[in-house]
Amino acid sequence: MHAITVKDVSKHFSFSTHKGLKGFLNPTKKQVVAVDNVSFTIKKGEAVAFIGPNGAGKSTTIKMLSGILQPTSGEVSVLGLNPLAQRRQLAMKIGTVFGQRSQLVFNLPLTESFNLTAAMYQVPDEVAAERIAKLVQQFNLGDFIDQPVRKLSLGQRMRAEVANALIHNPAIIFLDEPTIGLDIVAKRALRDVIKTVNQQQGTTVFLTSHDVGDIEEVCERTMIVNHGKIMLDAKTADLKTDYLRTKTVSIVPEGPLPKNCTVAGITAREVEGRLVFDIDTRTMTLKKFMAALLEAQDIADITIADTPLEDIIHELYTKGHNEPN
Amino acid sequence: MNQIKAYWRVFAAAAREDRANPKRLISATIQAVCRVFLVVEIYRIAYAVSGNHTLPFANAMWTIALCFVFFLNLGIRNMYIPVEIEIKTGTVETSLINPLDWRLVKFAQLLGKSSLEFLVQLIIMPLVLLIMVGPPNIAHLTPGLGLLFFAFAIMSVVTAAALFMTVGLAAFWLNDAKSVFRIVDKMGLICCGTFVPIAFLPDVMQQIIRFTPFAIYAAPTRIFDPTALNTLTPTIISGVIWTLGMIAICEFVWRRANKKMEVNGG
Repeated sequence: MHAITVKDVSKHFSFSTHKGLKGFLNPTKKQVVAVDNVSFTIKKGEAVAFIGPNGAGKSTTIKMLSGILQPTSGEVSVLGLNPLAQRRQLAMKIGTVFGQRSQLVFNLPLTESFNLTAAMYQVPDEVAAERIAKLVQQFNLGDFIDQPVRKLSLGQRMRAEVANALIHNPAIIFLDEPTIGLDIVAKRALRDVIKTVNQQQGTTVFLTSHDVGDIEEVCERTMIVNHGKIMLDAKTADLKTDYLRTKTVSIVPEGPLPKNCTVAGITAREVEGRLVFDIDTRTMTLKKFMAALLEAQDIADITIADTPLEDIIHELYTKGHNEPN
Repeated sequence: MNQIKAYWRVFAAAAREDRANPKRLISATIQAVCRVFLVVEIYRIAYAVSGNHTLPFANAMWTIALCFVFFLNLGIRNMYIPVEIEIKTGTVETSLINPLDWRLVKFAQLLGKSSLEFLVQLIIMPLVLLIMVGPPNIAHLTPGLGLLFFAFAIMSVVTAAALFMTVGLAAFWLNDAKSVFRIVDKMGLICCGTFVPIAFLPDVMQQIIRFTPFAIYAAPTRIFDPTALNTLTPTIISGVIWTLGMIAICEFVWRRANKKMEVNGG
């Protein structure tokens, strides 16, 4: 059974290129193709990442799936419902989190926001109280549950946003860039709870992000979009092997920068006072390299980064990879 | 029933959120008392030099004060503000995700936000007026009329909410709905007798107002105006037509606006 079915869906936006009186009298319309003939299906209980750079069509897709936007063409079915025609019926069955927009009541304690959401989704009071208590524990919100939302840190707020979206026990949760702006610790905490919700409750997760870390840790399947098209639809494990094979380890050594530094057979590049190693994880595990590095160098500072998404997309383009399922 | 409970909770949350800002409530009260004081003093002079007493002085002042409380403190006219903000910032898209009607949520929030201020003014204003101008003459009022004016108040709130919601929705086309709001609002304040009671307006103007939505918008504030009884039947007919008409217009504009929904962010 498919939770989401998208068939030949496109979304075009048009806007006037002339402003003011001239534009009013003689409007010139420009059309932007946000989503271009996209098709895919998502099974119940699947955790899928929908990733791509800014302007790729991620949010447009999520908004068509949740019934906010009408596709220009094509068919969308979510939990057997037509999102646009049956928006409110569908709303009862889905949860949504938009990383850049809050659905909590800013000046009231978090607990009041939760109660309001429960009422909006017509969850009976006793059931709501039970679920809220469970979510507070699961998302570790106990320390700040009585604080006004405006006083929460971004990481705390995002955890609360996700918990808020789960109060009515939705079958699908749409997460639109939930980790945007979060630090590493907050990102990890949020990814952990999303993963738990998916695995323990069987909630289908549809996650958009331009952070590669989100997909690696949360999703078993990844779709990469750019310019409104799906460029790749693959298992995340395959994506890791084929495209996320490079880790970049950048260090500042204690003392002066050594010349021609080689660790475990990998020679460092010198970039702005740092030594940068590009590790191909197919030939060398990160663990093995780190052990060798710590043995060879005294390190003052270290960062480990994934292949940037832009590089993966560039690689997909240069390989001419365009084979959605 | 559950839906009503949900909107009630939205209303209650907005009221609690507003209660968290007592300074705003105090300043609004001081402002309202000062406004009434000024108007009373101006009209006291006007009544002293004018021979026209269509409306007794106390009744005129109670009518104007009721206009202030109803139009400015209950502030249904402010409906356009959150609507315009959500459209301009794109928040409207995310607000649509919940299973309630977005327009009714905005309405419940607005009522919730202004309810406390409205209630405080409704208690304070009669006290201020009793001290400044004395009680109004209410010989013309009967319990039946009281009920009718209550019905007018409900129709007025609904019509005004639909009108100013429609004004806010103009932001989908105009980017900035303030210009439309200013035109409608200023017309409303004049036609509803906010500063000059309708009874004092020229006959031609009173006739024109009778055919506009402002007739029902202003109707509940004319409870202390005995001249309003002369036009009760046209007010009831126009009230029903405009209440249903404004709801239909708002629905039509909302459906058109839905097609203009755009995405902020890719």
